[in-house]
Amino acid sequence: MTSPGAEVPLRRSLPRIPDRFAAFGAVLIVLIVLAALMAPWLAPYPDEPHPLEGSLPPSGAHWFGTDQLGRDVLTRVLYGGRTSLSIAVSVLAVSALGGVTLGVVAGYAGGWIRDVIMRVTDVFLAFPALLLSLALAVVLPPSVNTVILAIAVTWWPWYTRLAASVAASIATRPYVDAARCLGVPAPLIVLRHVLPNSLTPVLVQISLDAGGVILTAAALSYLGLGAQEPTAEWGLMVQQGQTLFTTNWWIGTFPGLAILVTAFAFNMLGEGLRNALDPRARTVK
Amino acid sequence: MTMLRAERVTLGYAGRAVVHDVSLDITAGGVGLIGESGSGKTILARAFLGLLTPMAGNIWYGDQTLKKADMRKFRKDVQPVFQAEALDPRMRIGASVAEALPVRGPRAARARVPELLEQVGLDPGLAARRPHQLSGGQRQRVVIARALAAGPRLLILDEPTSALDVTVQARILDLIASLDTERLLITHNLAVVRRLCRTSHVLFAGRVVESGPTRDLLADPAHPYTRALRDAVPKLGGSPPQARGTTEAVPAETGCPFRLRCPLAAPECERPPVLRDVRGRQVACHRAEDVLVT
Repeated sequence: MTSPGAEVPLRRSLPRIPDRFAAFGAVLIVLIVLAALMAPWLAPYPDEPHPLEGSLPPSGAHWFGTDQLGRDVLTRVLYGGRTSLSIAVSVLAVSALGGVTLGVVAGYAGGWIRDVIMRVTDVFLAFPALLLSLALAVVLPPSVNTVILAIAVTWWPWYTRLAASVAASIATRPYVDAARCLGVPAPLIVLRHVLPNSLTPVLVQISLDAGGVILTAAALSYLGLGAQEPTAEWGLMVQQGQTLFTTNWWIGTFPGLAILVTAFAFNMLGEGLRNALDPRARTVK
Repeated sequence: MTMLRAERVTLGYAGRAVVHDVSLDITAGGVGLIGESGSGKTILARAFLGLLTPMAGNIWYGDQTLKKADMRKFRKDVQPVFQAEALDPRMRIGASVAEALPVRGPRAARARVPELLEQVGLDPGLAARRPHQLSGGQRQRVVIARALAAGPRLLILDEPTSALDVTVQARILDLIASLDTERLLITHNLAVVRRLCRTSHVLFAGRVVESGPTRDLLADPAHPYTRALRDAVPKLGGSPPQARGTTEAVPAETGCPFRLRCPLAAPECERPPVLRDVRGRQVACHRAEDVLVT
């Protein structure tokens, strides 16, 4: 007779292999992040003006050309990646931390606590996100921190709403009831059971949102409300190259491509993760 | 002695009652709550566990209502055994069991986990695994080990074997029968109740329709619903059980809630029935005597 301890496991815990687009997106993101982190070593020139080398087209010496001040555009794109990715990471960290904390509390506690948190969330969601970010960015002095704050203020309610719905569902699971029956205090139940089991959809949403945050940050900097010279930032670089596009197309094109490729890579990864973790939401191909 | 007692309890969600005016004692020898899906068994179990406050009536724990009782002591005395899926999928088995131990410090808890796993017939080496790496039977044993960790006097078992295949069910039932605790067993499986419960209560549409010794209830039901439940058990080689009437219950205010499905429905069934003594059990049926002779 087979002993109970030797019964055959019914399921294996192999992680799902993401689709090839998601894998491609992940590889692109790794390369972009590495390039940004290693900018001081990868950049061919220091990020300084060289008036005698202004507005040079792409060549063997300057692959992406130079801007009006003679700064190497490739160097600026690499350093700009640091700024743009830092903004994205900061916005997502602040929004997810605040949003998920409020959402999990609302979802688990229910009742009037949920009502208060969700109504405040609804107020923020009622404003068009870009408009609210713009309004905040106009009021505050232009800087990278302003961009982070302006975007985070419009981004957290989405995480609150998502985390609240997931946490409300987790709160009814038998293992949460079992913990309640043991007299485990509510904050411990939230930290030990509800929060860890609510994180998967939030992580997928974060990967889907990263591209959008980078685009929004670029838009604010493009409008002159974010990063300021001499900080390298992709949106700011596109804005500087825009007026010169007909004569010096390379100044705005390469940072624009960097924004496009990064946003696209994050979307591919996010879509793949969502498909892997929630087959019902799978995109029909 | 009665450890837990429901006194005229009405329960519901969002202001809508789904269990009406139920009174029952959890006595020694095992108590069964039988009924189809949606009959109110699980919500009643949640009330007995102190997870749900009654809309009306009281749950008594000894000589105090749950509202006034020492909940620390209650939590130690009364523990649930849910289905095998009642384990946190992200926690290792050892951590899940340790969470239930009333000891301070992870080292002291870790020392007792192997002992508890062995008590329910599991290899202590499984403590390092996660729930999805175990079979359904193993997970159910872990759920039982976790409930035992608190040292309870009463286990409230909610369909503990319904997700398991028959041979694993038999082993889990052996384990439950061997435990030195009182039990309230919630199930739709009459064979399980017959084996583990001396007394049973049959619920239909949130009302107790028959209560009494399990052996009598199943051998000679006095309520048409209890009889229908018994006759619905498929027999090897026999013809498949037939469903009768509609699956909907009738609102109790308009008469017997079972009358649309009842083969013995009569004009008097348009009056709400009350529980009354019929040959050593309590039955809520105008025609209980007729059921017993047919």
